Amino acid sequence: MTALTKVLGWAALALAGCSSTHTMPANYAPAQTAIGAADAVGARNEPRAALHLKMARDAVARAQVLARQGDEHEAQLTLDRARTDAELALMVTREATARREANDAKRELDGLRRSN
Amino acid sequence: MKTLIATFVPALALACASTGPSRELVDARSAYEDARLSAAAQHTPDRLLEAKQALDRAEIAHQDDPGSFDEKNLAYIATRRSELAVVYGSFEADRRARETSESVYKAKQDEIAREQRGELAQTRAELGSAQSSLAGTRAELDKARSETAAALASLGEAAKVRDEERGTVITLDGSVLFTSGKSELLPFAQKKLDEVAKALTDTASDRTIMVEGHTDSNGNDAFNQKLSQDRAESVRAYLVQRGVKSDHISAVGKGESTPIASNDTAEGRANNRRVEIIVQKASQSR
Repeated sequence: MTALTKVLGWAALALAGCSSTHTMPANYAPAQTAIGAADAVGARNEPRAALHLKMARDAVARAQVLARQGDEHEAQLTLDRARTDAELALMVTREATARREANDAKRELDGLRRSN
Repeated sequence: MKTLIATFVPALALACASTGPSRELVDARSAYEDARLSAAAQHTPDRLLEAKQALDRAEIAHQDDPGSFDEKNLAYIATRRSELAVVYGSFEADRRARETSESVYKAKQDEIAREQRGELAQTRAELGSAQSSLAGTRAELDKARSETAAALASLGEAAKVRDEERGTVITLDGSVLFTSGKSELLPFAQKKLDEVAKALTDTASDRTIMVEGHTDSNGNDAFNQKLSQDRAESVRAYLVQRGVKSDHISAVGKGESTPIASNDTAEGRANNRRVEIIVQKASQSR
């Protein structure tokens, strides 16, 4: 019995080490805001951005499941993933626009040079 | 029971003490290397730093608890942070490229506008120059006209000028030109002939000119003939010296043969002593 108690005590310690120590409820706001921003700039029309936007939404859905299960720490980390994917979707879209604008400006300049 | 413990404890130990990095962490390290070599290093070092910090968190999670949910998720986030750094770097590079193109475009436009203004100014200057040159030509023409008019007017003072069948006849008073019986021109005569020469070169440079010497009836015919010839030659020589073309002008002595007034009176004889310069009409010239 002593041996079993010892082993269980170890196991408890080991589990504590491996699993969450946070119990704060997950914060959905940053991820939702980032998804909204990506959506607003038209991320769904940019293939790579659309993929990350979908990943962000999927992660939010997973976080909700985790939170319902009481795994608040995992839920929060999953929301952090979601936010990062949404930010990437936003920036990929903005970069694509910036690249088009840079190309347009270059084309206009080349046109002006050719015509003069 | 012992068997249970024997299997449970090593399994737990294995779960917690796994030393190899997760696939997510390997990806995160690789993604960070890509970001470090991208434009982010130059344009958005702050984003690269965020990526590094995210990777560090994943590495710590790996050290604390290899293969854990935290390691994998933090590594996933670190990968995305590195990708974000790359995208931010590209975004900044795009923005700068656009700004450069736009500013070069504007500079080029300004340059073109300046060139066009310059060309316009040059055209205006050329037009102005052409106009002033035209004005100059007009002024020269006016000056030439007024000089010719002045020359003719002064000629009028020096001599009588009249148009006849044979041409324009300029009659110079013999007593003004020569001492009695001589054929050398007087200084005053030279001055008068200068005016005549000027009028001839200005207005009749291509016409044929005849200089005729005339005397009154005093003295013998031969002497008068010779004197009139010498005087005509003197006048011709002087006019040639003053610019009248020598092959356009000839001299002849008429003696007393062609009086224009009576030789009976002093006044008549004075009128007969003369030199006539006949400028043939343009149609009569060669």
